[in-house]
Parts: sequence; C-alpha cells; structure tokens
Amino acid sequence: MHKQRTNAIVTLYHKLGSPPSFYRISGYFLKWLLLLSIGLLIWGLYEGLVLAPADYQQGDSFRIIYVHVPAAWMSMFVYGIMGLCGIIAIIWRMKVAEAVMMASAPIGAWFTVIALVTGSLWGKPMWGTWWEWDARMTSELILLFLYIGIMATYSAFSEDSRKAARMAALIAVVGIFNVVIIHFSVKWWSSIHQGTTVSLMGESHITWDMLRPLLIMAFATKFYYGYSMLKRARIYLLETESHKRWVQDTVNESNNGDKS
Amino acid sequence: MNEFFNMGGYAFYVWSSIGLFLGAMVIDFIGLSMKEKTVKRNIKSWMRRKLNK
Amino acid sequence: MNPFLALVKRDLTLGLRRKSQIYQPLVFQLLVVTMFPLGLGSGAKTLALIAPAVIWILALLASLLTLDQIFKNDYDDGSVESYVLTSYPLPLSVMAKVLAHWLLTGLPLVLFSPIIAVLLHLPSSSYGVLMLSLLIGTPIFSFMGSIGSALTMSLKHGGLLLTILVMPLLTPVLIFGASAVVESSLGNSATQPLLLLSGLLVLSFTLVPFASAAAIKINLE
Repeated sequence: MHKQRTNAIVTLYHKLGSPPSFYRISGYFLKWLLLLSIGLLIWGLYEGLVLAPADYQQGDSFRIIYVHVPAAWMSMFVYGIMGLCGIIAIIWRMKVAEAVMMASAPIGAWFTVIALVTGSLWGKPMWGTWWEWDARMTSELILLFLYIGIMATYSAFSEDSRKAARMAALIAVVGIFNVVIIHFSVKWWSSIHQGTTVSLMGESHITWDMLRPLLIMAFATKFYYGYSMLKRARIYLLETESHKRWVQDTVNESNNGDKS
Repeated sequence: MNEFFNMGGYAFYVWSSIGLFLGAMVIDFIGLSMKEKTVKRNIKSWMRRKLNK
Repeated sequence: MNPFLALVKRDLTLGLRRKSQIYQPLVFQLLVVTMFPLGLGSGAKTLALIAPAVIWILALLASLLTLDQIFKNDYDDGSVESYVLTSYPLPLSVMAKVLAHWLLTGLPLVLFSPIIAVLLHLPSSSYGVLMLSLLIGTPIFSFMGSIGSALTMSLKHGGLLLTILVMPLLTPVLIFGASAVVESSLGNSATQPLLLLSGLLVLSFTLVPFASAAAIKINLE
C-alpha cells in the first residue's frame, strides 16, 4: 500500500518533469485558472469598491489596498517560487523547473511594478508625496531590480537557453538569500533615519468587511499568476524544444483543431 | 452612482490604480496569446521548410 | 607552495604589472569628488552632511569598475578551466582570486579614503570609523562581485549586466557602511552598524565562494 503511494508520487514527479506531459497536463488547467481568476477579480473588486465601508481615517483612498497589497504579496510569492525552481533547476537540472522559473519572471515583475505605482498613487493623498523612502517601498524597488537582473541574465546568454536558464537560476537563488537581508537592512535603516512615517496600512482596525475583498483579490491574483505562468512556460517549452517530435505533433494537432 | 465614481474626492488615485492593475493583466493576457500564435506559426513554417528540402 | 598562496601571489604579480587597474579607480574617485562641490555650489556644511554617503557610493562605484576583471582575464587565457580541472577545491580558488582582487583594488580604496574625506570636510574624528567600515565593507564588494564576474566572464560586454546584477545585492553593505560613518560624525557610537557589516562579511565569506564556483561551472559547460 505504502509502496504504491510513493510510486504514484514518483510517477507524477516524472510526468511533470517531462516537457510533453507537462504541456499536456497544464493544458487542462489553463481555461479553469483563467475563468476562476476573472470571476474572483470581478467579485473581489465589487466587494472592495462598492460594498466595503470607507476607512474612517483615509476615506475612500484606502480602496487602493485591494490592488496594491495583492500585487505586493504576489511580487514576493512569485520570487519565492522562482528561487525554489532555481534550486531544482541547478541541482536536478529539470527542464520544466527552468521553464516555470523563466515563465514566472515577467509576471512577477509586472506585479512588482503595479505594487510600486499603486503605492505611489496611494502615497500622494496620504503622505503628500508621490514617493517616500519607507522600508516597504524601498525593498519593493530593489526587488524589481532583482527581477530585471534575472531577465537580463537570461537574455544575455540567449544562444544557449539551458545555460541561460541555469545562470538566471543561480541569480534567483542568490537573490532569495539577499531579499531577506535587504528587507531587514532597509527596515533597520528606515527605523534609524526616518523617525516615523505613516504606514500606508495604518494602525486603523481593519474589519472583516474590509478584509474579505482583500483575500478574494489575493486568490484572484494567484490564479491569474497560475494561468500566465503555465501559458508562458508552455510557450517556452515549445520554443526551446522546437526540434523535438512532440512539439511538431502538438503544433500540427492544434492546426487541425483550428480548421475543424 | 456619481458618488461611487467620485470615490470621496480620491477618484484619480483610486481609478488609476485599478486601471493600471487591470490594464497590466489585459496586456499580459493579449501579449501571451499573440506570442503563442507567432511561436506556433514559426515552428510550422520551419517544419514546412524542412519537409521541402 | 600551498596552491592558495600560489594563486594569490600569481594574481598579485600580474596585477602589479597592470598598474592602471590600481590607480584608475582612485583617479575616478578623485574626479567625481571634484564634481560635487562644483555641482552643489554651496558651502562646507552641505558637503560634510553628504560626505558619508558620497564616500561610500564612490567606493561602491570604484569597485564596480574593476569587478569584472576578477575572472575575465583568466577566462580569456583559459586558466579558469585549470581551476576547475585541478584537484584543489574550486571555492578555495575563488577565495584566493577574491583576496588578490581585494588587495589590488579594495585596500587602496581604504587607504585613499582619508584624502577623499578631507576634500569633503568630514569631521576628522570619524576618519577611524570611516576606514574601519571600508575595511570591512570593501571585501564584501569583491566577494559579491565574484559571482557577477563568474556569470559574465564569457560575455564580450558584460560590464553593465554585472552592475545591474551586483548593485542591488550590495545595498545592505551601503546602508550599514554609510550609517556607521554618519553615526560617528554625529558623535554617536557606530558599534551596531559595524557589527552588522561584519556579519555580512562573515556571511559572504562563507557562502559566496560556493555560488561563484557554481557560476563558473555553469559558464564553462
């Protein structure tokens, strides 16, 4: 019994590890991930923008939280996934892990940009400036540089995609350690040099009516990340394995599908 | 309704945040669909050239 | 002779033959420092106020000028492959390369820093802390730079990529280093930032050689 179960897990691991089955299995999920994320987005935005009560201190401007915080969470979540895949890519040289890592970078960078710009749009009415060097915003900005560095490394070695991906993986793994150190050092720095800036998240008590849309939006962004990452990973595998048989079969299949 | 769009005087900040958020996702989505099409087309034309050789 | 010392000695002899690598970063520092009072146009007070930050940022930039050289020349003449092929552990060879690089470029920056400090009107009471913080901080530049150099050594124009990769990783060093100098120029104790800076040095000393070794191996595949 026990042996059978481990076998099933090992089989799943091997299946997900081989590009053709990853391509096939991920194909089943794409549509559902997209539909789920759109549905949750509409529900979460409706609750957040219409139903949730205005904050007693910040008024309606606090509603930016429903896009700012999910984006900021995603920027860190995606980086964590990239670091994990980077470790797998370096140690076990798993091609699918490389694909997932490189597919995560653009969407993670997008979320980081969204977090930065919406933070700035929130800061203007709250702090009176578009940009404040507070700990969160500063570490978010440095996170964006790390994302850019990973993508730049990959494109610098673009003649050899496997080497490029492993180089980028190394940067992602080194970055994981550094993100923690950077975060704490920036926090330490802002506590010394800044006195107290008003935190965007405020001291104000957040009620369940305000929190629920936030959680819904957090799930919506996770599902959208799932969609975008899988789709990009599939394109990545098609591109980098274009000389292989399964890619040619897949492309022909989709061609027939379009015609019928 | 007007009150909803006014967002208590913070309309610009709130709506441009939401717009950016949704806009980024729409751009990402459209870009991905277009990229998938071009990649598949490229592979197909590459296969055709190989067959003709 | 011990392979570690042999490698350090070889790099030092080679480095001392190429003197431009040693004095050009210092000239660069001096040039940029000249631009500051001219650009600011204001008196000694503003200069002294920004001096800690300027000195540290200059040290960072001057190090970045030479970081790509850690492995670049060895890659071009093929000796990087010999580090991988010999039985001597690659992380230790990396450490020897980093040590030699720091002796050639980092140490001069430390010794030169009082001159920059005089030009920027830093209170003379904080010269000690300035040099100590640079003494702890500049080796971290060389260590982190070795990762970037190992990654970019096979590229023709890898300098800018190296800067983009390494600079975000060096922000903690800048934060602790500059604030040690700020604290001491205000008459406060600089122990806490200096200790944190030393912590970073210990971390990079123990972990970075392995990362650089991995980067070299991937790059030679």
